[in-house]
Amino acid sequence: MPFSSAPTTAFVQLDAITKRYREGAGGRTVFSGLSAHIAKGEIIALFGRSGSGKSTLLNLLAGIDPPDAGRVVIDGTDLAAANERARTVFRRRNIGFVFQSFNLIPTLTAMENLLLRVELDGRADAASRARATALLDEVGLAARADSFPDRLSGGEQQRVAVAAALVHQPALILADEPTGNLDEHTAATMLALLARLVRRAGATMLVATHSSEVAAIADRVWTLHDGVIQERAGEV
Amino acid sequence: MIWRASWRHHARSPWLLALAVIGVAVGVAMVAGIDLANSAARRAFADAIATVTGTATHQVLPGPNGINDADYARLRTSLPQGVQAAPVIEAEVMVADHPGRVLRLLGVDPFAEGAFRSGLLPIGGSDRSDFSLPRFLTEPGAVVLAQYTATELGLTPGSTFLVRVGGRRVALKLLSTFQPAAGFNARALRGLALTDISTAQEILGRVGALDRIDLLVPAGSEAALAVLLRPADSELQPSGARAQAIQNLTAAFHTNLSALSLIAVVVAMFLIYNTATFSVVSRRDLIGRLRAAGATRAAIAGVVLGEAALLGLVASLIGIGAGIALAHGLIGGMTRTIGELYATVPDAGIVIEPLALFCDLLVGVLATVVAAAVPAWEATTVPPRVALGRSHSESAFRARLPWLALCGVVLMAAAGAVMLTSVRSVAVGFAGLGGLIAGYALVVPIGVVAGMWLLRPIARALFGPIGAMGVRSVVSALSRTGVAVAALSIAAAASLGIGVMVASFRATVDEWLTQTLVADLYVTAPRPIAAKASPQALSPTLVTRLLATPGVAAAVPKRDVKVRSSWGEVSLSAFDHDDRAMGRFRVTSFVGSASAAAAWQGYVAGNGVLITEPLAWRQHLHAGQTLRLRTAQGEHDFPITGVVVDYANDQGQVFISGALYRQWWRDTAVTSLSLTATPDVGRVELERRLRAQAGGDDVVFTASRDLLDTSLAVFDRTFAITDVARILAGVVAFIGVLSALMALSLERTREIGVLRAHGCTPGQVVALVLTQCGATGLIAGLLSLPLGLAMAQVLAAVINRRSFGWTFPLALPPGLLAQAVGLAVIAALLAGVYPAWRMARTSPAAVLRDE
Repeated sequence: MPFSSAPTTAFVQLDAITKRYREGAGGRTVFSGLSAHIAKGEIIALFGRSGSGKSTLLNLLAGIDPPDAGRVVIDGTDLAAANERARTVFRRRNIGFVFQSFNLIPTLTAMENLLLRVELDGRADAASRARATALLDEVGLAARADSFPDRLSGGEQQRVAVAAALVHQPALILADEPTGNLDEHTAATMLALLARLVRRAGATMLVATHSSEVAAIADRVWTLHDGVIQERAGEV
Repeated sequence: MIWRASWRHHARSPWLLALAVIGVAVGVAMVAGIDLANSAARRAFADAIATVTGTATHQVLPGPNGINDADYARLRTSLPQGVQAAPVIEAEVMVADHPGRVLRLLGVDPFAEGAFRSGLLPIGGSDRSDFSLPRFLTEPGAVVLAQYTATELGLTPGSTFLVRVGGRRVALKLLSTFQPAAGFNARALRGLALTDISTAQEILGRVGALDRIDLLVPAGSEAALAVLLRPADSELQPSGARAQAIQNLTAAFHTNLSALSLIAVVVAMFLIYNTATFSVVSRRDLIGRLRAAGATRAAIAGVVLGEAALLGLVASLIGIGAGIALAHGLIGGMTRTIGELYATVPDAGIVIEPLALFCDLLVGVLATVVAAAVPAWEATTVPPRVALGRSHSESAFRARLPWLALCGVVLMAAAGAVMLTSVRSVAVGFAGLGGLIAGYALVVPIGVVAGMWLLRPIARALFGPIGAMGVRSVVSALSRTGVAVAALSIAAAASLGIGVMVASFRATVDEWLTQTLVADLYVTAPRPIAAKASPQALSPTLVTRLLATPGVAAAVPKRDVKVRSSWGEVSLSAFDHDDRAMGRFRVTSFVGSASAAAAWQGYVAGNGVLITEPLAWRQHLHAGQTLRLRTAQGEHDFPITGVVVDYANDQGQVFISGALYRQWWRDTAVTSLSLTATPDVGRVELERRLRAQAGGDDVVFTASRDLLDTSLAVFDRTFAITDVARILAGVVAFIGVLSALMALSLERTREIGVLRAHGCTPGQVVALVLTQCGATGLIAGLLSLPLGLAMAQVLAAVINRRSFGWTFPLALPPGLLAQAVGLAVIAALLAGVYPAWRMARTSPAAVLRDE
């Protein structure tokens, strides 16, 4: 069932989004008039085949890519109307990322990776440091705070990445295949941890995934097909 | 197939190849440029000497009192069968209306010339219709010039022009011009003025005197000739000895220039190492797959080395082209410097010597292949199918750091030991210096780790996480940045080392000149540029008039001559001064328990001579020994009472009291006068009175201040070429840092993309890269200080000592230290501008799409 009408309480709102990519002499349309919304505190699992536009959708929501047409409104801010710098600042204050390849900064320690966003924003203070310490403790890596990423296992790196995505208290978490590089057991643990922390923080999360396990932590499940979102209820 | 895969890889980042090519090309250009200019100057000397020597096999050279027509007549009449002789007068004269233009006046006897310079002169069978032998022999001041020399001076046959000779102006008349005969180097004839020997004697005011007698001696007749020699202070020597003496004179100068040019090559080698390392590291995946497909280790190493050789070849060819252009730019300054320091260099033209250029090409290619050897070896260690991450290869590199540092320390110790094994060889000195630099380069990476560890909290405190990341990223890519830092450190150290050495030397020379130039005025005959080549005497009547001028409080007449010694010609200066002048000599070595004052007093009293440090060094002489000189009364052993500091002549000099000189050489001529004004008259008024006394005599009055300034200007011009070397080494180092940063920017695309995704603004990316560059430059600059100071010490105490025999204390101008650090920081920051701009444009969307 295509998702069309947005409730008045929508935290994330996509209005008639069009996104095309240039490919050679021609172009490829990923979205044409896509609309959707996410309520505050919701966790959405986003499925779709490779190349269906999952990452593009995440990039549009993060303000990394602007749409060619339409509006991307997050908590009342229209990212499509903002310039690149404004989108960047909005992103670092309001959005947390979790990537499939962890993407920790190799030249920063685990603790420094956690504090990166607040420091980039010039808002590092005792409270943020305390939050970072607590989050590291919560993901079981308090003892590895001073370790550089190349000294951590894949699971440990992803736990650091999860904590790092939350430390600046973002309202929206975007996770792109967060368990794609983990073994089954570690992936399950990781998903549970992610869901627990996001729920407790009251944040909203969109998880792009191929893993059916993610549906277990989601309020709703979206499936992207030919640039259209089809929705079903989650398994929570 | 492997080559094709490799080529496609390089085609993706052509700028990296381009930077490496430029770096090597600059290094080779420096070597080829200095090489060509050096050989041009050498060839100019040799051609000029060959031109005026002609086919002579031997020369009879005079003592200070010269040889004369009577000596020649006596020799000629008693010559053994088959021996031919021709008298020669040769001197430099200045063209009055063309300041700085020198003519070499060659006076010959047309009737004796035939076999000697038959192709040179339009004499003796010449078919030139406008040349008149009778007029050549009889017309006062008649000279013959090469056509283009006449054109340059604006002269046509029949026109007259003035030249300055030993304090006089003499009119010369251009009799005719000639085109150089086949087999003569046209450049060598530039500035040559041919005249009859009696005309030359009149022009030079030396009627009856000869400079030498050229001989054509069949093998085996030398011994018979030696017994015929009169007077006793004249000497028979092979004609090639003169050319050899000139070449020896400038050998150290050329060696030092060549060594200097190698600095740029050494720095360029780091650049190649970096490029080759990057090409290996970034292809570990590809290499692993090729190995899995059956490529042998040797094949992989062959590709890496082959690429390096190809790159070295292309870069060296470009460098040689640039070197030829550089040589044209350098030759003017170089010949002027050689002229000021040693002897006038005739017009020196750059000649392309295929063999020399091939050697330069070989230097470039070999340096490139050697620099790529380690990366090639690393490439063979990649196991099949295993693609290791950068962190693993960096970890492996870091694990090797202590060993590298240990090797570096051992190499530096070995370099020191090598320098001690031979206390005189300049080549061994440079080899030691090379070892020192190479050893230090191996220690640099561990120095980078330590430096960045210290710098990180400071950078964090100053610039937040961006600062910390910038500093840390230098260490996390140490295999890349370590080499860039080493290259930059060496360039900055070379700049500092040469700078400290030159500044210390200059300060010492300045102090020495200030102490030496105690008189108010110096009076000399006008001198050609190469004053040391042919000191000319003042006329005796002029000296008498000047010394009698009211207002002269003190006068020190000085006689400069070249005398024969057991090893060849040596400069000798005879002074008539008293104990008050002792301050101008700093005696550094004297006999046994005697004192500097005793050495001085022994010299003043005529008990012996003082010699300068370069002479003591070159001839292994020391106080207490004797020095055998050929005097007007035959050979005599003079006791050496002491060794004195002197920076006027790197070939060394003998100081002798005027009385002792006159006693042995019976020569009362005066070359220069140092005059001090009475307090009531002062220098300006004394100079006015002296000029009035000089009347029509053409003499030069120089105030001590002007002499000091002129001497320091010569010093500065001498070392000007070191600035070129420093700049080019800096350029290569700059390219090295740029290359390393560009390679890093390619590798860090994902990291930067993620940072941008996390909310890092383009400005923050720029700040990150520039912090990395600033930290790189700062550490490189700081690490350059110990090496730079060590290089200065080696250059001063080893290279300079061995090349020229001078000693001087090192001074440490703080400005130079700050300059070295500043240079490294600015070079690194400038090198970071483009990579920073490039990284700031990294699209996070593109990076995330690759997830």
